[in-house]
Amino acid sequence: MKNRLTSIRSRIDLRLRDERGIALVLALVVMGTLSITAVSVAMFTTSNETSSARDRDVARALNTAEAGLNNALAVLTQQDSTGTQPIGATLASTTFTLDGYSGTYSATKTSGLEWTITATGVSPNGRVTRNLELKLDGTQSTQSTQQSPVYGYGFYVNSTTGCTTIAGNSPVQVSVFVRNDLCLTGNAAITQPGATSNTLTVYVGGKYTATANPSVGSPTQKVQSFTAAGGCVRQNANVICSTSSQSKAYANAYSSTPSAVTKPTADAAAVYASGNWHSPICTVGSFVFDGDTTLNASLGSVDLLQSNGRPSFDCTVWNSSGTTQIGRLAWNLTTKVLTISGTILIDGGLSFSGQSSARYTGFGSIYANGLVTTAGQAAICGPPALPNGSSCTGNWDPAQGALAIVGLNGWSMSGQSEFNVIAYVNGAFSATGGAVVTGPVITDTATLSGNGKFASVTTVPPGTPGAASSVTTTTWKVLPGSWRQLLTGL
Amino acid sequence: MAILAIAISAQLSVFSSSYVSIGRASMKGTAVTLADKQMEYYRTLPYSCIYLASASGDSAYSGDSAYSASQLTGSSCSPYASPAASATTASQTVSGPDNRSYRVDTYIVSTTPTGGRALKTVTVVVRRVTNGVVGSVLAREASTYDQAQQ
Repeated sequence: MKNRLTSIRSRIDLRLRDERGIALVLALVVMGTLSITAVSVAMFTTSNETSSARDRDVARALNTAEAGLNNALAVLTQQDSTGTQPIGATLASTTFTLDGYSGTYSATKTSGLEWTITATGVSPNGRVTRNLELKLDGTQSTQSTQQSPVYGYGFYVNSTTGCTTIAGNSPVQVSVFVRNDLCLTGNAAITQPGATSNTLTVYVGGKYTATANPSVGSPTQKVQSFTAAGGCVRQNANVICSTSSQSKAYANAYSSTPSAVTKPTADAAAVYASGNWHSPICTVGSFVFDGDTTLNASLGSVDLLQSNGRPSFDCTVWNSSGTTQIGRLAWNLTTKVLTISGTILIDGGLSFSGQSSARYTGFGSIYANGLVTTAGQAAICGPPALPNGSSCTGNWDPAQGALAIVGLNGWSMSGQSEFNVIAYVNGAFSATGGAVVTGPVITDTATLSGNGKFASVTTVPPGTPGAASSVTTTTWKVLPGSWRQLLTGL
Repeated sequence: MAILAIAISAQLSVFSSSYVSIGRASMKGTAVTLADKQMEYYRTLPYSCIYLASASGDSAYSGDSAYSASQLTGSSCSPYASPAASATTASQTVSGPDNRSYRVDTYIVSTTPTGGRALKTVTVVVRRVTNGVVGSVLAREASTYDQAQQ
């Protein structure tokens, strides 16, 4: 029994000491381990590649969404440049592409001066989306420009050379500002109106020259101030201006200090660009403001009232986009009333023929791209004055209505006529005979031999060169801290 | 033994390709970082300071789809301080955080969305550089900039 047990143990020991076949086992184990490792490495590598690619997609999608925000900013700052679009207005969803990526942007106006913009960037495979939001904030500032001081003078001459000649028999009873020489001849005079004194100012940028009879003010009704920067000459002899017995310039104050008041500029090109003059909207009749689509005096000379025979019309000119009314001009043949509002431009000169006699209502300005002329017995009366032949009955009150006529190439009046208007002239103003402009005349050069009857005005109509203006500017900026990423994309 | 040798060879190839792949992914990740850094820098600049000092470059630069002959160039943006040279250099080689060299090409052009005002579109392209030779594109990003942002 003992021997048998020993034999069995010996056989077991032999079996245990026999290593044949172990290499296969080890190889399988090592192979298995390496295979698992290889698969793990491959999976890790693939995952890393995928993750890296996704990182790039995320970065590019985010930049595309950011571009969408900027595109929206660029559009909104143009489409709502004045900040006047109503709350709730929207910018429709717009699709764009950028360097292979696509995106969309849209916006909604959430308050008076605030837009909320959302933008999306999407990777080409559609797997990565980034949504961003931003607020655009507007600030408004108003810049006011005061009315040019030239309208405080009833008669203003801008030229610094030559002589402004006044030779009429009726005195000029308004403040005068001439930057060149002032030459008074015949019975011309500049006098205080009525029984007043100490209200008018007379400024001569050059030399004041007078013949024997003319005077400025009177010993009992002195003007407020008299300035002759170039000195005074009377009857061809130099005189001391402040010695009124020599100069016949009676004033409470004398000066020789030059003044810097200059004529405002008439920007005809800007006025022309502001409106669609070739295609007015007329509710009654018709009127041609422009013969073509260029500011080129295409209409020659326009007889505005055609001796009161022009058919009725009521025409409005809008800006090129049709959103803003630039001006309205209407004529009623029955009532002989001219209605004006805003700014009107006629691409040609303006004439008032024969018996053109009318009154006007409203506040506005008419730019005439040519010569303004009248040779007949016309009367253009401002409220509440009424036409009566070639004159106006009653006194024009510019506070009730005012018409400024801007002559872009001179102004010539003769015959018996009265215009209750503000005359702004590029070039020469000439009034002879009984022709008068009762509003202020602002011109480059002037010759008066008629009955000067000017007046200053407190407020000139809108659109007149040098009129007071108020411009509100809206500046759009991104609201700080409003940028955020919306958690809707993967 | 033959089967074992084949298996081990296959596994070695898996390891080696994985090594290369991981290295490439690492480079692309670094390239994205560099592109991000360049792009973000422009977001700190005033609108008028986004320009290139010179829009010329080598064939790799001018051969990119983002290249335009009418790129926005400038030399100053007064009253603001001039941007760093890295923001105005069209093509530059930089060292990444992994100490490898990368080529960062920047393209700036003006574009106008429909109904909007002009924008500046910036495209940043990062290319690999191996032994001084410019290689393939590793990363690219593009975005636009509006005046209202600054």
